[in-house]
Amino acid sequence: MRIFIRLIFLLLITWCLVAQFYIAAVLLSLWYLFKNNGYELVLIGILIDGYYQAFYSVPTLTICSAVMVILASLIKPQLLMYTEDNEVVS
Amino acid sequence: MQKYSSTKKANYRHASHKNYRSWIIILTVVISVGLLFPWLISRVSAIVLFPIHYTTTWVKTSDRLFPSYLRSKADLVSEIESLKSEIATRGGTQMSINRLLEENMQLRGMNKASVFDDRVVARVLARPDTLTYDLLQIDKGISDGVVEGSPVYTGVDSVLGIVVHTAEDYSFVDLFTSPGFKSTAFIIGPNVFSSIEGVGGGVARVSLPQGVSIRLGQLVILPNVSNGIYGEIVRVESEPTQPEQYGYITPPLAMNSLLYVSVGLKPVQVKSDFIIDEQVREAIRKSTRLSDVPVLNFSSSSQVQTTSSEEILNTN
Repeated sequence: MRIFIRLIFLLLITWCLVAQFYIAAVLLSLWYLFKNNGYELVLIGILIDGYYQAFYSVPTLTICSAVMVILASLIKPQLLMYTEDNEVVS
Repeated sequence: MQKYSSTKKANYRHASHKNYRSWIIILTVVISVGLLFPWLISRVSAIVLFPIHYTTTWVKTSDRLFPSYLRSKADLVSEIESLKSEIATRGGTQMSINRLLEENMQLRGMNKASVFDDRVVARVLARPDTLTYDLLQIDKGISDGVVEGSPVYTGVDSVLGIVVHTAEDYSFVDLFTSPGFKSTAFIIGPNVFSSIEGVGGGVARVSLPQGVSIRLGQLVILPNVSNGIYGEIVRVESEPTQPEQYGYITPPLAMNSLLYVSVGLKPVQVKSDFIIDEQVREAIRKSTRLSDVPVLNFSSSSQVQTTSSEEILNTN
């Protein structure tokens, strides 16, 4: 995915989290995780938790995003197909 | 194998872990800093997310055209949702009100019926569609004075059937529409007696010879039961080539809508044709007998004639 599209996705996810459109944020995050590594989502989680002052207690969003990224990295290889030339078909 | 447009030349299985490690290190450091210095991460977040925060606030609070449009649309959507839920709630409430009104009307009807001292109001426990047989189960039994043979009414005078089995707290009612049930009916209109038989499914029929005028809506009563209007003719089956014509009768209320019935406490007296004939003859005899008039006034001249006339009257 191009950098520009990734950036728009990340901005959109961040805006959805700030504007409290959580379902849309989750759906976009899942799509983003499928298409990319998704480490940026943890960064966004950290930023949003900082925005909501969550680091004074438990940074829930950071933990959730980290768990999502780990799970996606475990699951994603099972969902990808490879050609005979060792090419990834996504 | 077909190649897709999204096919990549990169090999996922041989991906380097360098990028992966660097990301983990960065994130661990940031999280640690956040946990150690929450104020710092909060300030950084506030600065980084300021544009997004500003945009969100603008969309939520601005009076400009576009955010107002978005807000009004969202408000309208939420208002529609709340109205839908309100309608659903009111629909449920209205349904309860209608049910209570209907029950109230039925109870009022039964109350009119219960004005008669010899009736009790009973609730219908089971209908023919839920019972194995074409019977009606009611919640009044021997303890309430219901006996076998008691007539069962819907409303004041519309008779429905006869109690055929009574237990302590419940009874079973054999319907006039049950298959095999036979009785005598009187049809108001042509004013003729006829036999009525149940055909099941809440329908009974009367059979009459051709030529007797029966029409839709004519009332059918059961003379054996006092106040016993059974129902009205809802269909006439008449073929000129057949010797008989049939009128189909249904009770005024459908079986499935029966909630309350009234039960007469005096059983229907079943009388055979012979007994009825005897009673009619006896009544005629009584009316023609001159027992109250001194016979001696008519014939004082001959004692023999008086005796013979008394014997003649008695024999009649």
